[in-house]
Amino acid sequence: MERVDHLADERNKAEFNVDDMKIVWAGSRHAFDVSNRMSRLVANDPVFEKSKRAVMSRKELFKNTLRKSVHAWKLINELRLSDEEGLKLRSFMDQPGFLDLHWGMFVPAIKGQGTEQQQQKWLSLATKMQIIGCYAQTELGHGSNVQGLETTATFDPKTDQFIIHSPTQTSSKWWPGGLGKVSTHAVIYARLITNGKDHGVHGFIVQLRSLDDHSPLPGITVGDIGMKFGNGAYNSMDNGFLMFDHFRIPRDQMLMRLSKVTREGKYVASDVPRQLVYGTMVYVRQSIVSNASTALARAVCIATRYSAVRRQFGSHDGGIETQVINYKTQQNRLFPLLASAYAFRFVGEWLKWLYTDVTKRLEASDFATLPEAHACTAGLKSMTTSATSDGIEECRKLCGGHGYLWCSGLPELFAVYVPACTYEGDNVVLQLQVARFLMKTVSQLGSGKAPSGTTAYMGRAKHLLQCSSGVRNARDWLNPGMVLEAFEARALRMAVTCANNLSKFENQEQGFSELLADLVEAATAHCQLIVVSKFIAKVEGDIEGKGVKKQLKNLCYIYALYLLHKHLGDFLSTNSVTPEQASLANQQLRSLYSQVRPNAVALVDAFDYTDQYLGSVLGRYDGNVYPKLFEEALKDPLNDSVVPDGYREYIRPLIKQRFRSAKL
Amino acid sequence: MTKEPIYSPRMLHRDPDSPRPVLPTQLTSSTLRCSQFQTNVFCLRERDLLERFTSEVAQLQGRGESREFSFLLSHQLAEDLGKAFTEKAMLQTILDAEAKLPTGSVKDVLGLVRSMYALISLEEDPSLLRYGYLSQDNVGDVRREVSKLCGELRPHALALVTSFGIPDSFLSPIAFNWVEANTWSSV
Repeated sequence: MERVDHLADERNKAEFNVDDMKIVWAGSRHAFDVSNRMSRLVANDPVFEKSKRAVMSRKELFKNTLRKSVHAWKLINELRLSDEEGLKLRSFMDQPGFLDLHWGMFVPAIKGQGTEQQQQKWLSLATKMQIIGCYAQTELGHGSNVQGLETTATFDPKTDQFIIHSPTQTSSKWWPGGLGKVSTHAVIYARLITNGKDHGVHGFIVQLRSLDDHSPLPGITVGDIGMKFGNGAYNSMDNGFLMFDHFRIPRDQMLMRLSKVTREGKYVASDVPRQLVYGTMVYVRQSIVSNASTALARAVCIATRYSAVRRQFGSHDGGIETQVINYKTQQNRLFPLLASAYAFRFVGEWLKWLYTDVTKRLEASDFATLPEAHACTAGLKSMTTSATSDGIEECRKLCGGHGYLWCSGLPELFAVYVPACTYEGDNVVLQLQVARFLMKTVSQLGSGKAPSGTTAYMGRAKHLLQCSSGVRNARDWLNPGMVLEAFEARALRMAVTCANNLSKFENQEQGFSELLADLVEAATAHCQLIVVSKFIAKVEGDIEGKGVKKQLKNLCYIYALYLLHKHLGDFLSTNSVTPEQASLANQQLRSLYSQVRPNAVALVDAFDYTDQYLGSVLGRYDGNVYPKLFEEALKDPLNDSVVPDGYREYIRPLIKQRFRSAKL
Repeated sequence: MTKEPIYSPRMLHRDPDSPRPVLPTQLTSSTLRCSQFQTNVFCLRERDLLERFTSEVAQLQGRGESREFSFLLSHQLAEDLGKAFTEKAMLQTILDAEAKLPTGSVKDVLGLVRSMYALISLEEDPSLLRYGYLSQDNVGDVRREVSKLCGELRPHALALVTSFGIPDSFLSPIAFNWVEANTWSSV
């Protein structure tokens, strides 16, 4: 059969060089090369096949995950892949499994919290996968509030051991990935109790299962917590529960880089500053923001290609119907998500810089920027994951009824993605942390202390509190200074309004809880300003490739003006823009949609996703959708027989009106 | 016996002679909770958006655009108008249901729920500010009233959802004691 590209006409409309845009999306030529090689390696390997995931039973799916995970590990060793390449290979494997938590949480926890000796001993085992570890923190009764964990680790000076115990039902560990069936060890977070005193939550390395036959060690109760949302998705991961019955571990299995317990049971804080933990936090959140851009890009890629393929209405005199991507409503819903994918990509890049900056400062014992880095990363994690989960579901709706089919790729993408809004910090809780930081920053204005980093704009409070936008025509909304000033004024005025309202309460905490909803909105406004300013900084910088910078500018201002449109109430109520200026912004937004339209398919081609990775019939590179939908339907197990199982027992008696009496 | 139609004639009939509602400049708590005020602001919004929409479409057609294309270009206003109509229809339906109830605690709580619906709809709609139906101070008043209503509805939250009458077997353990349902003795 001839391979025809049904989207070739769309690709020919591109006004920029797609290969150059691929480099921009990847971040560098090196990053593109790694990504491209690893994605093709996975796509061409039959072991990584995944089109039958939705019809596997839980046990089959889990076993399949074990097979893929070990196969990936073998490839990493045989091909001598670097850490970077190995990570990429696993991401293209695209199936949640124990490797994610072993490498993503267990190993980093030991690196960050273990002493030199502990690292040498445990990391050598972990990096060769002679042990498999997970990160057991969350409990049945406590997720967001880590300080409320109930599991205890009580030092026993007689035996030089810690006794790990689950005192209550709610202290059972619950949710850790890889714990249910696979991990032999875990970093357990528990309250450290020594000499009768509670020193708070600390990490302990605990062996859970025998390295000979994998049976749980005595005193340990462990298992899987059950099915989760979606077909496939996280059901390939053995999220687990874990309870301890006075389980004993050697004293030197407490992670002691930041604090230690002596043989006599004395608690000693080490001279290593505990602020070092923040470095890991920034790193984890950066990867979550980058993952948000990837997940959103996948959804947008599928919806964009299908919107160019699908035609509905608009026929004139028996002619061909209109591609739905030409409708202004489809563009108004889809193009802001395309812009958001690029926006989150670039803010993710900026967070990489922030991580190196924070790490450098930590090494120099400079903790001055930590509060801002913490608030900034918390807010961006919250904002990008919320926008992405909403965006994936919106992309599914943009595909109409066919988006509801599993083989569209979107239902599973949504199910596998949404936990990002909860893990590593509940999104609303994180925004409240941002709000606290903003209130503190506002309270320091006028004290002479100049705010820095992402709150530097607050140093211009005098101007921003009274200025009015100078926009006079639609094109003014393509001026970076005009856009930034509008977002800065809005964010600052919302924060100042909250601070003023807070000051009317005698009790600060009571005021905070009364104004929670407003504070979250002020925090969101601040985070949106960060993303807009980083996108503008990116597109105003040097970018190679014919027409590339132009397209990125279009996406940048679509992102900004769409946010302005969506949150217009904020901008109007703070007087950051007038209704007339808002109308001009809408005009410019419509103009930008028209400019992006011919480039839409090429802009998603720049993501360089293989069809295997996308796993979507609707989003096929070649646009050959309807014949493939039919092919997929025929593969469904229900079509294994013309007459369904159960017909003779239930349907035929009904039709023939030949019931046997039910015996009660 | 004839069932009352779901949509009362009042909603379908636009009296061209009825004056455009005038909103008070000061929105007190009692004003915001007043059904007449809520109805007025919803009607005002809908009527104004309809006039803007028809005017924009006529203007585009006057410039030679087809009716179909004019509608497409005005989709933003069309969506706002559709939403305004729907929200007004729902408010009217709630008010009709409320009016049938005898005076008492059920009616009072339903009034709180109705006001929450009305005010949260207003709070989330930027067209109120964009087109000048409400001032900035008014919007601030609405926002504070929503917060107050949350506090007043709080003690009724469990009773209100119990009123749905959903059998326990239809709900998952998470609707009851989720912790107990997932402890080891049950697993």
